[in-house]
Order: sequence, then C-alpha cells, then structure tokens
Amino acid sequence: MPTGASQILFVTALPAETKPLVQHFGLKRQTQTGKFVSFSNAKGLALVQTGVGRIPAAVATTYALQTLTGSVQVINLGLAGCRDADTPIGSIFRVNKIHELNTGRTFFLDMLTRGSLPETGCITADQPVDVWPDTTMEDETLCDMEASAVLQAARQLGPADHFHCLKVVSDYGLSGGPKWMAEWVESLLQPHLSVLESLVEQLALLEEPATSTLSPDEDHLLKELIEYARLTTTQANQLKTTMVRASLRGLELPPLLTQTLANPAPQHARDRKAWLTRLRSLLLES
Amino acid sequence: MPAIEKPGSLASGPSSWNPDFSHLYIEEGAREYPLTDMVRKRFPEATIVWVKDYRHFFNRPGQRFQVQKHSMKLVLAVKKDGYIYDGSENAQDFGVSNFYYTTPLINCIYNCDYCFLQGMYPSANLVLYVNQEDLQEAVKQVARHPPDPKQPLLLAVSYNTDLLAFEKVAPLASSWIDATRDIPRFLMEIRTKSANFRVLADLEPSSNTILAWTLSPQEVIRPYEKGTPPLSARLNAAAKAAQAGWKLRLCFDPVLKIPNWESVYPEFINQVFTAIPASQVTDITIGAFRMSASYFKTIKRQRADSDLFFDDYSHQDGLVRYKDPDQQALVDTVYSLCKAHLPKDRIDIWL
Ligand code: SF4
Repeated sequence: MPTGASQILFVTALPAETKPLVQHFGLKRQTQTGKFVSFSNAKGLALVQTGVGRIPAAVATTYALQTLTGSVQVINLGLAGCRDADTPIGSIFRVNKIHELNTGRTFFLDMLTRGSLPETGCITADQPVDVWPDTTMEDETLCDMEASAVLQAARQLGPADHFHCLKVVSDYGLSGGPKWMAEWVESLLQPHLSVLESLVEQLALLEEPATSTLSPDEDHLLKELIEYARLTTTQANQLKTTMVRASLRGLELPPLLTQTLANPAPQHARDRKAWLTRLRSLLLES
Repeated sequence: MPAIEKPGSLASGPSSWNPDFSHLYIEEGAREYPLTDMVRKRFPEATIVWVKDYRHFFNRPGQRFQVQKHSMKLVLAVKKDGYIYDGSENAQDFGVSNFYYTTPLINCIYNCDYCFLQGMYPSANLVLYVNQEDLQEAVKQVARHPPDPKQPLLLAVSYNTDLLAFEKVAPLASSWIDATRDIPRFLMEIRTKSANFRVLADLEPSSNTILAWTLSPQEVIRPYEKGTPPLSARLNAAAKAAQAGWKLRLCFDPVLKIPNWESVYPEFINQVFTAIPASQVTDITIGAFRMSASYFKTIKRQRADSDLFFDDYSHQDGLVRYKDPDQQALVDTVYSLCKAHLPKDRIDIWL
C-alpha cells in the first residue's frame, strides 16, 4: 500500500469477517489491548473486531480510534441481510446512508470518492429483521446490527467524510436462514478483497487539507525569532500571521529569517516594535 | 448531461473523486415536481439517494466544506418557508429601502476563497428548491404591497449562489426573469461571475432584470476565484448582454489588497471599459473585502491554504475588513477610476 496522508481502520463484528482481512493485508494481532481484539500492520492499516450489536461496536470503534494518531479513515465491513431476494448472496454494496431503526435517525455518508461498487442504504437494527419496517425508504435495502454505531463513533472523533461502509449480502432475513459457519462467512468476503484493497489505496492517498499553517522548519524559526526579539504574545501572533501569509504567497522564509537572526537583536520595547514592523514589511514585500 | 467532471485537485489524480453531481439527494416530497424530473433527466447516471428531509443530509455535523468541494452533490428539496428575506440591513441597495433577497438555490459551483457561504453553511453541496413557483409567488405578493410604496422593490435572486453559472443544470435565471417580467416598480439583480450569457441569449431582455457581473483583475481571479471564468470571458459575456439590451451592472467587489494593487486596479478598470463601453453600463458597485467576523473565524479554520485569511485585518462591530487607511484607499482608488467613466450617482460604494 502506498504511504499517504491517512491511516485506515477496518471495523468488523465477527471473527470470520476479520480473518480474511488479517490474512490479505498481513495484519498482526495487537497484545495489550485488554478485551479489544485488534490488529495492525506497519503500513498504517489497523483493524478492530467489535462483536455483535451497536453498543460493542461503538465502544470498540471509539477505543481503536483513540489508540491511533493523525488522520484516520474508518471502513466498516461486514455482512448484512437484504430485503431483495433477487440480489445474489455474496453481492457487495457501498452504503450511502444508514437508518438506525431504534432511534429513527438517518445518517448520510459523504460519497466523495469514485468507485465501481453499487450503492444502497442500510438499516441498523438491534435484532435481525424479518419483516422490513414501514419506515424504511425504498433505497434502504440492507440490514445490519452495527453500522450506525460505528458511524457515530467515527464521527465523534473525525470528520464526516472519514467514514465508509461496505456490506456483503448474507441472507434475506430470518426466514432465509443463513448458515453462519466461519468458512461460509469467509467465502462471502474473500471475492471482494481486491475491491477493498483498491478502496484502501484510494483513501490512503487522499490529501488532507492543510491544517498546520507553517512547515516544521518555519515553525522552528518563528519560535527562535520570538525568543530572539522577546516578542509579546500579540507581537508573536502578528509575526506568525505575516509569516503564514508570506509563505502561502510562495516566499521561501528560511533564508530571509535566518539572515535576520544573524543581526543584533532589538533591546528595548520601542526597538522591538520597529524591528517587527520592518520584518513584516520585508516579508510581505519580498 | 453526465455528472460534471472536474480537473483533478487530488494527489492521487483526477480519477479519485466522484464527479460533481454524481449523486442526487431527493426529498420524498420533491419527487413529483417537474424540476426534479428535469434534473434527473440531465443526470441519468447519477445515484439517487432518497431523503425524508434534506436538512438531515445538509446539516450533518463534521462535514468539511472544502473537502466536499472536490465532489459536490445536488440536493432537490421543497422549500417550506423563508421564501423571501428582508435584506435592507445587509446588502447593497442603491439607497432603496424595499430591498429583499431570495434563495432559489443555495451554494455555488465556484469556489472563491473569500466566499461567505463557506462560513454560512455546514455543507458545500448545492440545494435546489424545486418549488420555485412558491418563491416567485411570495415575491409577487411583497411587490404588490411593498413596505415603502413610493420606492421600487429590489430583489437579489443570486445572493447565496451564482444562478447563471447553474443555468445549464436548471434554468432558474430564465424562470425568474420571466416570472418577474411584468411586476410593476420592480428590479431584480442576477449577479454572476459566469461567462454563460448564451443561456439567456434567446430571452427578450426584461427591464425588470439587471444582469450584474462581478469583475476582478486576473491577478485576483487566478489565486482567489477558483473555478470561475477568466476576466476576458466575463467581459465578453457582459458586453454581449449589454449589446442585447439588458441592463448591466458591474460589480468591483471585493477589491482585494493584492501585491501591487495600486497599479493592477487602474490597468484592470481600463481593460473593463475598453471591452464594455461605459454608455452601456447601467451602474457600478464597489466594495473592498469585508466579512462577518463569525464567518471569517469559521472559514479561517478551514482555509490554511489561502493567504487571504492571514492579512492584518481590523475586527470591529462584528465585521472583518482591511485596516484603514487601506480599506478606504482601495475603494477610493477604484471609485476615482470609475468616476472617469460613469457619473457619481451611478456608482454605489460598500465599505
Ligand atoms: S461566485 Fe459568488 S457565490 Fe460563488 S463561490 Fe464565488 S463568491 Fe461564492
């Protein structure tokens, strides 16, 4: 997987959903995670296995996100029932909205990145549903037991566009009677691992909007200048704002600022003010 | 029309983002409207997502405006209230007290750095209200009994969007021009940066409509008005509109304190009046950059990429603007340049 700006966290519910991912992406079991079953590899991929249901899903997702630093894209992958008996078992969908049956709330996903998978809506229920509730909209064709909870946990800790959800059809409700054997579950997911890999590559490469306004080098120079000229907080903020502006306009700050640091520092408050005014004009006019 | 492809602005290449309007979010209640039908036909390949109330989609927490700008979605909804707003307090009104605005569409296909919509809305997705007739009827009602009966009623219809730029998706500008054509004592402004005059070329000019082009020097357009047509294309469109007999307003707003602005703006104004004879210009508005402090704060948090948010501004009375004397100097300079072409009473200033 290419190195990109984001890490990826897979969230699965069942061991049989976890196993194909662990094997495919070379994930290693993490020790010291208490009751939480989690995996990771050196390429920025992690996985947490939550157990079945909304509460375990929310708790484990929150735990996993708190152990990761930086920008994290969450992918919930798992099995789901389908209301349409014409949809073949094993079909995969990218979920674009999740209706939480218990609360009546509907959550929408940001469908920003291109993909070849068919899309649909999913309802999250606390029990498997046999009869589809009347409140369901026509494009809510899948049913699972965790997605709304994973989404809410992810949104507590990250932006809305960092949650993604893929579901594979396992049954058509209770009367459909799935055979919940581990090998059977794995066999449903196995054919979709390459699609998942493409999504992972795509997400990992998405460039996050700039948050830090100065580069580490520039930030270091700013600190040096603040100390060197003994700037007040207001003056320091003024200098930072001007540096950001000059840097965004394409000025190479380090040569100019390093040169400034080589000169004698201003000694008195009045000199400091004049020094700062000169430096700011220099930055904006260079 | 396939979903709108955009040039890539992504590290992994253009193909990673969905095209604009790859998805249509349609309120259940909007299903049967002709405008819904029209938009669905324009985007036959779009994924349809049904929504009970569009606000559940549009107002979600945690959305990132600038990230969504990579792939904007289109929402089709029924506007239930707020058909027309009193704008006399916070908009340019040429001294008229009957000033209103309406929002047939919210958000914009362009992405100007200084756009206040980034601070106003939680989402960059566009919302098209399919019950335009209800909004138009509300306008007609207010026009029948304006607060000040001696004054004409002014309506800004492109206040939270660029309507003309959207005309190929849904012909809202044309619809508003026709709907308001016969209202007595009425003037509607359609403000745009689009070069898309072609879409109105077949319409009979309406004396109730003024087409207003926001014009900026190319030195402003390139870094700060992303996705918008270049100055030459806008000038061309505005000139055609004036030649066709439309009332024409030129908006030099916002005037920005860019490097060398003292020489850039005179050259720019000269370019404008070379392309458009002053005799064909109805009026001009001028305003230096200013923004509500709360929008500014919200936008600055998301726009570490724009130097516009790192100038030395004055924060006063809930408004962010350049410190004086810069603010005044920017406006004065453009004003004196315009005065050479148009009488003072046809130039409105917004400080
Ligand atoms: S054209 Fe107007 S509405 Fe559109 S992004 Fe620019 S400033 Fe905003």
